[in-house]
Amino acid sequence: MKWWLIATWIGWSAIAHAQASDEGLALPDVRVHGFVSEGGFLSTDNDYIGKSSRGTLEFFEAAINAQTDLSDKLHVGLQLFSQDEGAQNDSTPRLDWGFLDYHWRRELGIRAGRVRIPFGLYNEYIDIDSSRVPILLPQSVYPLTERTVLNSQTGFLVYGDLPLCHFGSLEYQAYGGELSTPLAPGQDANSSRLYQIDSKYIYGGQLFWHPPVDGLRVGGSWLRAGLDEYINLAPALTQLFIMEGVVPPTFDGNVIGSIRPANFWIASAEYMVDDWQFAAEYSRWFERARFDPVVLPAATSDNERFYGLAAYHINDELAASAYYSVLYTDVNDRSGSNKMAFPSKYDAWSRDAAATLRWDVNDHWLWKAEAHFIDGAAYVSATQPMPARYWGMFLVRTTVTF
Amino acid sequence: MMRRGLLLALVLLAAGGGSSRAGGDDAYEIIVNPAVDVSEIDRDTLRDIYLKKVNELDGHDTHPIGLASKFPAAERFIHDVLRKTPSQLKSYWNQQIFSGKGVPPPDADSPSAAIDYVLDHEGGVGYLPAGTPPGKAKLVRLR
Repeated sequence: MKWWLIATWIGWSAIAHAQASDEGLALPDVRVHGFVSEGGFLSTDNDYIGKSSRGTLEFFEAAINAQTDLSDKLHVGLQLFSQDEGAQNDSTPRLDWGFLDYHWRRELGIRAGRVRIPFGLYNEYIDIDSSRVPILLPQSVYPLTERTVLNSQTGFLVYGDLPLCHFGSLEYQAYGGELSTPLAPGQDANSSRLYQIDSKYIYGGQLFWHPPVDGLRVGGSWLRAGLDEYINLAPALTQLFIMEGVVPPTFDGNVIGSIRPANFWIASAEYMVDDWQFAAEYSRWFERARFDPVVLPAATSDNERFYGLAAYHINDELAASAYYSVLYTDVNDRSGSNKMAFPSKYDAWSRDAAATLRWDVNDHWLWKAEAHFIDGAAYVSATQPMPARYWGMFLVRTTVTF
Repeated sequence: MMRRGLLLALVLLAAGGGSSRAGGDDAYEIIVNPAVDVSEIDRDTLRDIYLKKVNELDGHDTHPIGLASKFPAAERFIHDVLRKTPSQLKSYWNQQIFSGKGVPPPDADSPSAAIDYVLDHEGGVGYLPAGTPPGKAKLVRLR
């Protein structure tokens, strides 16, 4: 997707050139912002973010963006993002978002390029540490492990705000395009390896009602996506499938896993009053997956995800938050009675109670400390054999924003 | 006696609802570029202009400017008009900046800089500490 970078810079260069010919070199007023964030985390028993049970300082994020108004209604910007978080150890900067934004009027605007996916209250702002109190947003609804998949899409987005006279206003966003999902680098050659992701489509929308009560918004979001994942199975697994006669002897270990569709929706409410913030969301994620060749039978999943959150700004420097976040892998089997799907009953759920303290040293620098107490292993059961039922996770993080 | 008290309360209420907030170092007045043909502006519209949800006023593209936080009027304006706490406003603009949706209006270091900015832009909108001479900028009533 380097062409987006190139196209944007060509656009800026063209404008700068046009202005230069009239009045000397006059670049548009470009605003540059960024953040650098580093931290550490430790979990008891289970590995959630990489090898978290050993404790690690691999908790780095950095971004830099540039934005300018090309005219009163035309805005352009791009952001480069770098990340080293456990398994997501991609410190090479890549294009996070970059788009043209034509804000025609209050009721209608359009963005074209790579844009954040509006889903729920916070998906568009998932990596903006300075905009919230918790380090990790509730992981049932905003899982760190899915950040690269659900972060942005390349295509179009229309948005607007419709006044409703005495009844507040309706804010909407609707979009369509392709997912822009980077591959996780550095995969072990002896393990199964995801070597290509082919996004077929993504489209969706979001609607928020802002009633005439300051700080309150309620609404919902929905998205539908399809994608193919190209996987090269580990040699041992390839041999196992051949020996069991699941695949012919000529099988080379390459499998295509198709997710069609992924169908997610979420209902959201947020209320900010004085120094308090309250938020609650309920979400369902439905996916249908099949494999070619058929090394595993086609399967469907229907996750249930919800949380409640409260945050309080004690003063200008200190803030605290707490949330309770729940994930059920199968909404029809919350207790994990299906032994085939859940070797341990508690693989069926994760119930996560978290508390955070935030300290703003000044307007640009902050520190946070956070503790999680988790019952259940749904967060980790897909990647970890025999996970523990009760476990904890502890994080610290510092972020500089400019 | 009771009727006189009621009358006095009404007079005080009317005085507080003018183009500027009465009393205190943090009172403010709204100014616009003289090209903007309005004599009053409602609080919700002003809020949406400063949060950049609205980009037109009287057919002009809006160019809002704030005041630096050292001015008590700035905090009062954020509370009264934007109806946010400073931390909520900071969080809002961090979300806008790092999702690419926009950047906040500039903050003027002095009332005279705010006036200059408003006069330099046809859709210029600003506010001043109450009692500051607006120069050639136009004072408008806040509804």
